[in-house]
Amino acid sequence: MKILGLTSQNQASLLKVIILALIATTAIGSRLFSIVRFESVIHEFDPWFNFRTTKHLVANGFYEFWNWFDDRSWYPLGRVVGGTVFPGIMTTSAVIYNVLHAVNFPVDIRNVCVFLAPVFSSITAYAAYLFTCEIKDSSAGLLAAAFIGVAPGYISRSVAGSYDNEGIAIFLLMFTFYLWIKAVKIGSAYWGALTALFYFYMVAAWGGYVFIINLIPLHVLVLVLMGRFSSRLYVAYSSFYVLGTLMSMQIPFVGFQPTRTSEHMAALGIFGLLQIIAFVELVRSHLSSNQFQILFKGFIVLSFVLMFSALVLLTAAGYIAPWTGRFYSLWDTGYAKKHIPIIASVSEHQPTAWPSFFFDLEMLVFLFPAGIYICFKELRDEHVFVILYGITASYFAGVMVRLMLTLTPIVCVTAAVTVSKLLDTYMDLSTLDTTDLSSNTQTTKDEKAKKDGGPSSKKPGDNAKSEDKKTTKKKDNNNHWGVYGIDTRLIVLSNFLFLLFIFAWHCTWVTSGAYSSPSIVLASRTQDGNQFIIDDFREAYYWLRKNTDYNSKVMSWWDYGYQISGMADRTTLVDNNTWNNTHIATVGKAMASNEDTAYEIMRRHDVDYVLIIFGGLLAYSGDDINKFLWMVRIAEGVYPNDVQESKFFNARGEYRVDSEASPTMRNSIMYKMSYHNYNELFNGQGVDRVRGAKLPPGNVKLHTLEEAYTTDNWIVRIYKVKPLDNLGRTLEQAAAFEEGKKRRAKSKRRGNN
Amino acid sequence: MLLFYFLFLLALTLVSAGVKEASFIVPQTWKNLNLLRTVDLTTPIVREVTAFVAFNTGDDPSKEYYFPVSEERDKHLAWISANERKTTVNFEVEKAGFDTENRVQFYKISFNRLVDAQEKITVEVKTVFTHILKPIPHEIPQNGKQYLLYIGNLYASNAYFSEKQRTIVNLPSPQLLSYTTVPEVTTKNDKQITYGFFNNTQAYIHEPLSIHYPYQKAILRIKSLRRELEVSHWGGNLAVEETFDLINDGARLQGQFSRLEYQRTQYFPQSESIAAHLLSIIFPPGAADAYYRDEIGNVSTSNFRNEPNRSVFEFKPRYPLFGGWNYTWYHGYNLPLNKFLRYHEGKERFYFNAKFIERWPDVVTDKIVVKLILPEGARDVQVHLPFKVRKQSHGIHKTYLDTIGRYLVTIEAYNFVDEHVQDFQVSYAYDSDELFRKPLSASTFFLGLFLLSAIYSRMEFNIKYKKTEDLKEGKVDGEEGKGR
Repeated sequence: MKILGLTSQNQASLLKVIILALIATTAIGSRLFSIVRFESVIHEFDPWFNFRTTKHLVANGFYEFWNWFDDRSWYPLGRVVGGTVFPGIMTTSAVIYNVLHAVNFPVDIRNVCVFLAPVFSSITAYAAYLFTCEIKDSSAGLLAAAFIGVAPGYISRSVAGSYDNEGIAIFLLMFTFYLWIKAVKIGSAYWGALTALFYFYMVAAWGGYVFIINLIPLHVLVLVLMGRFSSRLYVAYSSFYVLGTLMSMQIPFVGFQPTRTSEHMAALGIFGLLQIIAFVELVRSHLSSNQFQILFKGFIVLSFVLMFSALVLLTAAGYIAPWTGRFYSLWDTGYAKKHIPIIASVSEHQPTAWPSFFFDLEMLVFLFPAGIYICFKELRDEHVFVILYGITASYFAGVMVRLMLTLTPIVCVTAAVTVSKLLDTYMDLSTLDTTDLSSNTQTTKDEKAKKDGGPSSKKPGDNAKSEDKKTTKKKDNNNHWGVYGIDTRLIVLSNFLFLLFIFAWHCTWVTSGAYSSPSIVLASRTQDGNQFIIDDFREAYYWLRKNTDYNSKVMSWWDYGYQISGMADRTTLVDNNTWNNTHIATVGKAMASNEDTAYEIMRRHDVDYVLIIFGGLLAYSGDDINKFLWMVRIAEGVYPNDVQESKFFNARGEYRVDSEASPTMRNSIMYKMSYHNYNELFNGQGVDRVRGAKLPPGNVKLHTLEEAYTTDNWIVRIYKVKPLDNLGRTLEQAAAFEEGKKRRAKSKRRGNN
Repeated sequence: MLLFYFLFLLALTLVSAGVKEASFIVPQTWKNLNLLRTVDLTTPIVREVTAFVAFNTGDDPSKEYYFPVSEERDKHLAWISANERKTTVNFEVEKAGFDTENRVQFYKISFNRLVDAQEKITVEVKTVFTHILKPIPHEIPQNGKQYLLYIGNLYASNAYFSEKQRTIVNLPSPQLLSYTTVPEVTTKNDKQITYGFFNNTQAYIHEPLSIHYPYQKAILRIKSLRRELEVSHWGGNLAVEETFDLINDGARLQGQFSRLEYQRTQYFPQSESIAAHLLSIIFPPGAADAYYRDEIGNVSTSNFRNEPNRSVFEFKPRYPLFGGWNYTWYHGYNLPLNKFLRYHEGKERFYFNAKFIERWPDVVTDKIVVKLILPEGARDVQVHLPFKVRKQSHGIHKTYLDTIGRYLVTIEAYNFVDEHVQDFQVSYAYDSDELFRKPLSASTFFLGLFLLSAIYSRMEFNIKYKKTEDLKEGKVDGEEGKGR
């Protein structure tokens, strides 16, 4: 059949290109909700740091960035940025920026950063296509590309403006895995080296590279245990591991970790094991089987014992670092809460609630096991990989919300395999018994092809190679089961068509509703339906940026550190790079203490301004009073004598802010700063709308701090730390004296009247 | 070493002596029969208009009259112009010598005709000063009253003898904190104070005049303004982008800002603070696609509307601007080019006319940089400015898909006031085939891209023979593995 003078193979590849282009456009398009609704702006917290470092990189060049010591964060400690950062995303944007400028395309660096994740998501779709092509065929590949293009689990981390490592890391993950499968299939050092190269890029981009460096050895181990050791596997893994490890050690943040930490030991062990097995294979080819049996067993046991004891000894001697806290929390979900409150305090480190699986993956979550089952049926090397990936990733996704991200690609792939298998079965014309009905099916098929992007329409061309094999298979199958009636086909196909529609609809709905808010800008609707923008964060940050001294130090809870340094351009004490728990605990202690203790801490750290988030007026629930218990807990972890969590609960064990709040709570500066002047706004009886509490009557008085700025909706409140009193009094005495003077003046005036 | 030092000192004294030598003496060939000076204090920009009847006392016809501005004031002089009162014909004004004795800078006014001996002419000189009003007290509370102090000369500054003169001060409000009174010749009348008549006053006479008056509005000053005008023949579009760095120059905020008090006073207009919370700028008519952003993104609090002969852009800064507070932002809009660009058939040149700066009343601009980007391939560029500027330079600006870059004219000026809001003209030659440069370069770019991809897809990077063999082997291996 010739259309446009092309052979059916060319038609198929033309269609594939067009469909992939459409998928890429859809993938980008569905991530632009936030831009259409709001603006081209960097979202949330971490992206602001990435954006700031990217600007630094673009402005000062790579070497300056590499050696950058940032003295404007973690005051007074500072931070060695070049050595504590995954530079992949910044370098990628800087390269794109410089290339565009070299061809006279003066695109703003902000726009490069904002659009990086959507553009990479379209490339991820292509990577998923390639990966799935290796698993099944290109029609499954196209389905997988379409799924991953719109799957909310991935969109959640890659909308326009969400300029974070994950934005490019998922592409790298998929592409590295594709290359790995290819390398194992072909057994070529070239593909192994390519895998290593992209693994290196992944190491540069995201801490999640540990997943790759553990999953690939696991794959190798399982293959070996299945008795599938081959020279292909040996070549692929050896070239990948050696090159990949050497390259990954070039990243300063990673450094010697691949040889010294437990997370990387599995890869090293498997590498050793492969060498031994290869050696054994060599010996076997030269020895008789009886001798060999004895030698083999002795050798395996000996080497295993030796390696394991070496590992234990080195760990005990401190050469190999034991697992870090974040990894322990992967095995024991309660670990972090007990030992490292700072990890537990991050909402994305919480275990996943089951509805979020459905929310993020919709019908794919049901198709996922089916896909795994299909993989078991075929069980080539790459299918083993898919199964392992699926099992490990679903465990991790259950443990930590944010790891849903690594699960999404494999769910898309397996679901695509399932759907494609189903379509193959139900649309295969060769099993249709009546010839006169075939024309009917043809039309349904065409319709369907039009509707769901048409992955199935190329099936005949694609599968040309395997056609004969399949038909014979099908004929065999026909003896046992088969789809004979057109009605059965129609029911199943229309059902799935419906499900696909619902999937697309669900994805769009989730993306637009849940994942497209920049979180630095809030939106609400006025009564007449117009959008009303609440822009308090930027109001406060811009005020700081323009009206305070450039060297002012701003104290805030670490959540806002990156935003303050990015938007307000002021020095912060702690930020989202939570590398120093003590420092964070000190800030927590200051927030949780009474004014005089806090004043001492703030003076010692040269704090000029204190910034807090208060949602009471606008019912914004993510405010500091709601996070306060975490501050207390983290502070208690370091200063157990000064801060006790129990004191912040009242006698009945409740965490309250109204008149039943505990005295320690009411004396803490966090409480005071939140509710300073708040009662007066309501003429005496303030109501906290987040916690639904009536505040105790009376004014909240501060004597060591003074209100410097409060935003329009009171969300951000900035206080200035008062200087020491000129007359050497304590600030409390000074405030009392001023108060008395005022009162006297007032009474005098009244007396005169 | 010491010797050099002495030589240097010697040279310095010689030079300064040389300057002193050159002190300017005004020939006393005029006297003023009647002089009326009006000081306008209703805006933060002080405008002084001196109208006088000049009488030629010399023997020869003359057309040169010298107008003095004290050294202190000259630093803040933003504008000076002179015209004949009746005909309103403008006279040429240029900077003349400096009198080191009286510390006075002279401006030479050249009349458009010779005035005969014993004849007279009625002239009006307008001077505009910025930064001479001081908010006293320097700091006020959030809702406090702001007072400005004007310190000046009771008499008109003049280089000639005056028979009769009078000074009128116009005020923004009738209340006053204090003002200079001269017995018998001072009259205060609602929003006006009159001093005079003074009879037979000498040249350069100076008597301090101070007026301390309330002014309950923000005193806005643009620290710097960058204006970019981009002419596009292709789109028939003039794209304008303006970057502002603004400060409220009024009395500083005492203590800290209280949102509570601010929100309370929003309902009581009588106690309004001097904070600027709503600004408005006028754009030319037909402006479209306005945007308003600052360094950290879009600001949503703005309102833009088109009116028949202007477009109004009202916007709120992110925070109210109290005294001493800064704010920066940029905004931009598009205009139809045909209103600004004319083609002269005979000369085969394009003439571009636009306002140097859009009028923002009562706001001083300390520094302004106007960048005019002409289309790629424009040549023979000539710039005609209505007034003198500090600096003018020509260069290249490269942007989207440019090959040789666009012609860039940069004009830098300082101390700008309303009086400067005038048209400037730039003319240039532009060949019509330059229009094809862009599509050509764009299509070449894409052709190159397609060619590259075509070549790439036909290249084979694998060692093909081996690959197929490996593949086969792999398949067999796989089957075997399954079997085992």
